[in-house]
Amino acid sequence: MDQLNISEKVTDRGAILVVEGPVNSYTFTEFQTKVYAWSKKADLVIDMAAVTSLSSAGLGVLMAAIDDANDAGRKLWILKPSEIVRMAIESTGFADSFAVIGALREAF
Amino acid sequence: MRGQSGGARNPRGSRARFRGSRAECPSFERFIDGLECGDGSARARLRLVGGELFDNLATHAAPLRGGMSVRFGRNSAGRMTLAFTFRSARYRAWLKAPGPSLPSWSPVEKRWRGLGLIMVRNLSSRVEHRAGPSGDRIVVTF
Repeated sequence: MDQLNISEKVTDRGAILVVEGPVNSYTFTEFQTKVYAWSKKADLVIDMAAVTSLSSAGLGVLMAAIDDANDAGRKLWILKPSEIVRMAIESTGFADSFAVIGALREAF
Repeated sequence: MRGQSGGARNPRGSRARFRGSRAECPSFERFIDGLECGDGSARARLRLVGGELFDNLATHAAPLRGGMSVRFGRNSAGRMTLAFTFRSARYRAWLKAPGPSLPSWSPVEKRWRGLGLIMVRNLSSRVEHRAGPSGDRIVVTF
């Protein structure tokens, strides 16, 4: 899968972004725009089960969004990260900063 | 991208050539996906580390005279290797410039810096940079 697809769902408890495909230097601008927009205005779940790659640029977006959410009194969860996402997060040494969940009910 | 299997000369390896632009990220990922590298974990490492280096070269070394060659193989110990061969004076200068030793937030650029470097370090066992008159080479051993 070469293309990045991001679908948005809004519930009464928060927003859900379902991300599919690669988050790399070629695609991360769209990822950044949507994650930053939602992390400041709602509790946010990012479903990353179908993410096929995650570059340092994409990881940086997640880390900055977590800080933004905290500053705004919001929460941000990573739902069902794929193996490559989990590996990328753990490789940075910042895994404790990420709230990883296995089911949506753990967030909302 | 022009891909080429090693065939009979190198049955465990394969290689591809790129112009060296960020627009080729999807082609690079397809090259990695086509490698016979074992399990999904090995491929994930190749994708993450290879993708970071490919992006760094496209960003900090372009324009690349003659493009960039990427070769996957295994060393005598059976470990996976990924080698990038190119020619770039800009890359040599960038290599000498001081960079962040640890990931940090840049308030000016409004982005995290140094994450890619630490990803590459932690997901590989060795990264060698070789620069010389015949060209530049980065070899990653996993």
